[in-house]
Amino acid sequence: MTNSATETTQGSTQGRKSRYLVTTDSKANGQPIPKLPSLPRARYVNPEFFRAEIDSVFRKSWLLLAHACEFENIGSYKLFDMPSLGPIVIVRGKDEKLRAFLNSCPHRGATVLSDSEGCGNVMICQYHGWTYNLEGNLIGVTNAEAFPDIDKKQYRLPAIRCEQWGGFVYVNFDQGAPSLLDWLGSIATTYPQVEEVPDAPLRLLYQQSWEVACNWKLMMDNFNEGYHINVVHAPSIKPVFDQTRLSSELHANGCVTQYNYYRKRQEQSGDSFDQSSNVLQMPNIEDEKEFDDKHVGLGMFPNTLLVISKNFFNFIQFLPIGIDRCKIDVSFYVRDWGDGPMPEEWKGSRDGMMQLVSEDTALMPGMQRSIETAPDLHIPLGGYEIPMLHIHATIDKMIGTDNIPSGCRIADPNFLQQWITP
Amino acid sequence: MARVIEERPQVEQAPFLLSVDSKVNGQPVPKLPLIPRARYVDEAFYQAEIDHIFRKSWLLLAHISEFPQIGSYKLFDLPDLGPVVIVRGKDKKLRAFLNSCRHRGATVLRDSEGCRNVMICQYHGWTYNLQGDLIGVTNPEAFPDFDKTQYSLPGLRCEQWGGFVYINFDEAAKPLLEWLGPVVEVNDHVMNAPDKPLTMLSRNSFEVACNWKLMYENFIEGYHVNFVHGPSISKMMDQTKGYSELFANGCFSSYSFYRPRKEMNYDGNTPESVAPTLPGMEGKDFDSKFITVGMFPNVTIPAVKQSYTTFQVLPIGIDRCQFTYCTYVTDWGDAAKPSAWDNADAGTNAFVQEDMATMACVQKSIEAAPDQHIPVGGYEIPLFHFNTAIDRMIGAENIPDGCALPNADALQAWVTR
Repeated sequence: MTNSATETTQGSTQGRKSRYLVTTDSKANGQPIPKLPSLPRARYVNPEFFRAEIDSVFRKSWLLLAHACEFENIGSYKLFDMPSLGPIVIVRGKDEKLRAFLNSCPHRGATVLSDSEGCGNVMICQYHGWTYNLEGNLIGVTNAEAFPDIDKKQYRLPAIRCEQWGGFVYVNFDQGAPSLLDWLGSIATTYPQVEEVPDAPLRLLYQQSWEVACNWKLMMDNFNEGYHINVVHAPSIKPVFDQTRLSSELHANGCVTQYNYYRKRQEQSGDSFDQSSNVLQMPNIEDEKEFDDKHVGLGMFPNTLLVISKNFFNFIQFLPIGIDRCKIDVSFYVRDWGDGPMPEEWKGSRDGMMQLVSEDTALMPGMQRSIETAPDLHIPLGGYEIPMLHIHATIDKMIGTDNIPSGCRIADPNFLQQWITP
Repeated sequence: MARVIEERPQVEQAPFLLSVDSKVNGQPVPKLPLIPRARYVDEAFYQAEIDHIFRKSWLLLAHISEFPQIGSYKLFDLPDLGPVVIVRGKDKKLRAFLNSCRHRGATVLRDSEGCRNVMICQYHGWTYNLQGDLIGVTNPEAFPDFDKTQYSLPGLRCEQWGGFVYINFDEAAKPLLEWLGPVVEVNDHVMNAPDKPLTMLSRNSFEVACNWKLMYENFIEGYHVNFVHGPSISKMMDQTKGYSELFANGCFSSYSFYRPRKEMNYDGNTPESVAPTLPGMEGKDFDSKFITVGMFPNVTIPAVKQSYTTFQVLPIGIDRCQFTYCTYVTDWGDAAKPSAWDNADAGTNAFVQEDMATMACVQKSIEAAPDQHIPVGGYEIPLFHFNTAIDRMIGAENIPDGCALPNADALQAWVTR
């Protein structure tokens, strides 16, 4: 028998009426879930479905991009070139608020910032020098006499919705989207400890991105199921995590909480920076006993896994480039250690993370090819893969069954509905 | 002409022998239609080739000698088609599968060849026996009520002729021997000795920056030998003496003649090399000629006295292909490798490099003027035959404008049935 609903998450049940803990033996609160619908492989190869994902999912969802600690001063900015979506800039304004814009001058469309990050007073188009302040207002038109009667107010930098939870910065291309906190719903209220520390002295330890030759969902699937840990991650995290004790909780809008239990100390081999007690621990979480025996993966629909652990926050994100190509971004945050030297513990952490992720990515191009070869087959799903099904079902609901090419649809996108935490 | 076919078994119909002066059995062949260059650059035509030809034809991949034991396997990553595994089962039969786990689609074998009792998915450890049956699901409690018999590894058709192993992605395809038809009857005496102990002497594989048809066509006409292969095989072959015979489904044989020994001036392998004669060639006139068997759509097998070489072309994209050649010789068993084979690849590599260098230029030139048409002469009759088989398999209604041959039946009267 694996874990039961009562065993987990003492600190996180406040204020919620009913919740379901889904276990790897395909049960919810101990009761069997009926046989899961299968996933058509066509979802990973159909270009029409890919286009629908971009338009109806990525252009409508809140996308996690950064943490507030990355924008230290007024004028601090970072560029995020999101393939298939657009070039984004996030910048801290004079009022200290973070805003997101398209990096696209309304004159002829050139970029207004070129370095990937920096700090400035204004944004100046690199083509003709039109100038925008940090709030995106057009404040200068070069050779103004060439534009008699121009109303500068009509030519603001195109703004993107930008909101925060727990210091994490999200953008949304959809002006009509619900607020971030409404969208996140119960996944945000599960961990008020995170929500309440927006001013935490965090530090981006590293950020790394690279491309993988597979559909973005193969990566997102991979990071939302622990079934492969013992096979794929035998060299890395298998000695640390007990995959059979995994459990998860489903939230609205495709979000998922995954509880990843550590093996008992005496069963573990190798080092784990997860549990080292030599580093400063994350604010507000350091005293939570809940994080002594596990770390928590917050699956942020559609494309990000945010890991909350006693020693770090880490997110890994997958952005579609094309039907068979995606970009991976890994960002790793720790408690800021101030002016001293980097703690020893963190020196190998990037290499450790890269080894872990490369164990996964090594499989992906071959999988993509193999799926393309026999796209009419269906993928059977087991108990470990319920979070995956939840994500896929949410994609279908956002696109709308009628807009999904036949052959790509999940038989019943509402199959898991009754086990979603309200 | 009689000399050409002295060992050729008689089939129902008298043979039509096409000579390089564009005659059939001595009578002129009417002028052949032009081949549109668009066939080498049109994306829709390329996709039709993948769907209607490569996914429907028998594709030669290997020889039985490459799978010596129960559990011996090889992976064949066929670009634009899929990753294939061929494996010898407990019943000694060879089977082909997609290297694609029925769970989430990861590969079940990783090393390019080896010997295994089972195939284990590298992602979640699902286990298949050598017959492709799913025999183990990791953490089965996660899959209650799971019917393993519904999740066998996807099988592909896999059949043999002459010890060569063919696969077909089309479950409904005719049996291999029926598909090949008379090319088998006519060449059985050369190719078919399934128990002959062969061994793969060498395998070479390259990517070439041209449409797959350019590379294949190059290997089915001898017209270019004196020009492109001046430094190599032109010293050995008399290109003016070639004959060919056409068979159903785009297959053909061609007969190529060596120069008289006193004219030869070539330091590569020559017919009088001391290497062992192939079992099928004993007692036959392979001192003056060799036979090339053309296996539509993408393999030719020159059968010389001492070796078979399979020249295979696989499409990677409209303007890129993978070219692989394998040489098979009489197995020397436990004895020392015959010294004749010490540098056996050198001669082949030399002329293949000459071809590849030419083809990349041809592709670029065709792309530059895709509206032109290619005139074909007597040396290129097998090439035209190959193209007619492509059009018939794709079907006129599925061929994009500007790509079809004007008359896909122009050679039909001389196809041996």
